Amino acid sequence: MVMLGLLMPVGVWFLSKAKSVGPEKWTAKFMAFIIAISGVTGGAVGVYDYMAFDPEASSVSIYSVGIVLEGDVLFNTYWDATATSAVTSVEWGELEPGQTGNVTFYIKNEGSSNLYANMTWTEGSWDPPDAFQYFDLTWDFEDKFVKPGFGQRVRLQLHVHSDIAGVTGFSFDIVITGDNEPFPE
Amino acid sequence: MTPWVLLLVSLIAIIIWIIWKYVIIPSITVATDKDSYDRSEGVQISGDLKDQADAGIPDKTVTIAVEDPGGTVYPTITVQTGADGSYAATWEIPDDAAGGTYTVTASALGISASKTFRQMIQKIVAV
Repeated sequence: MVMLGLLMPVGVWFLSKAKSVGPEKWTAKFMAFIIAISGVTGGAVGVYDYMAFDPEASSVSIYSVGIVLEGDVLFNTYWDATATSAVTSVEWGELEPGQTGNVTFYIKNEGSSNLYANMTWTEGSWDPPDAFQYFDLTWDFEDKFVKPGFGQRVRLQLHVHSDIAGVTGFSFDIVITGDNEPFPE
Repeated sequence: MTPWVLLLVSLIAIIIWIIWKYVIIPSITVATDKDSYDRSEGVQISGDLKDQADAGIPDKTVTIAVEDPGGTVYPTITVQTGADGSYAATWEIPDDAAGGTYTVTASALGISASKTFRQMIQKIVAV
């Protein structure tokens, strides 16, 4: 958006040119007027954006998190209860240090036996590496199982430690492992 | 008005007409026959799948899901829309169903609609 600020002088220049165009050239004058208005508006937005920019802002951008499904039980994750929109990645948006982000989706058991699931992340998938030490990932699916053909609403929570430093954006993979027996504690 | 402006306006009008004529912008509704039920009753679910001109969209698959208060989703029901775009299905409340607010969601053609109902727990009181 800051780049839009460059449009301001262009807009002003077109505005001055628009005045010098004769009345018989109304189409050219109209076009120049539109370009000028666009330039001035874009410039104003750009200047506002630049002034609002805070280099000391400490929010953390979480671009994308892959979902990896493993295990012997056939299951999938969906955004909706009707299981029409599969979850392939999670956008957490921006989280401040100390904040917790929530994401809700559904696990559907598409196999023929009960589904028990375990959720974790792979440390090797973190970008940047070692950033995992600043985060806690939990879900509310502990001690539950899903009967064949059924689904279960699940809430994931990602907590950002308040002492996070040197990380402004990251991504990692969530691994959900399914089994037909409970996982050991 | 110059010929170029007329041409541009005509092109935009033609594009809008083509989109309106050939691109379906669907909408879906879902309803239940009552707002609250007793355990083991049947929930009559119905609705319509229509296009932007309010005409029914026939022969499309509608997926219906019922979610209980704890987030458990019962096996989905699939039905086809009729000639007028309407659909209907019955969901039997299981004997062991928990009491509380249930959500019915119907989806088709990438859109969905939801409706809630209450399932009352029957209590047997000795006299």
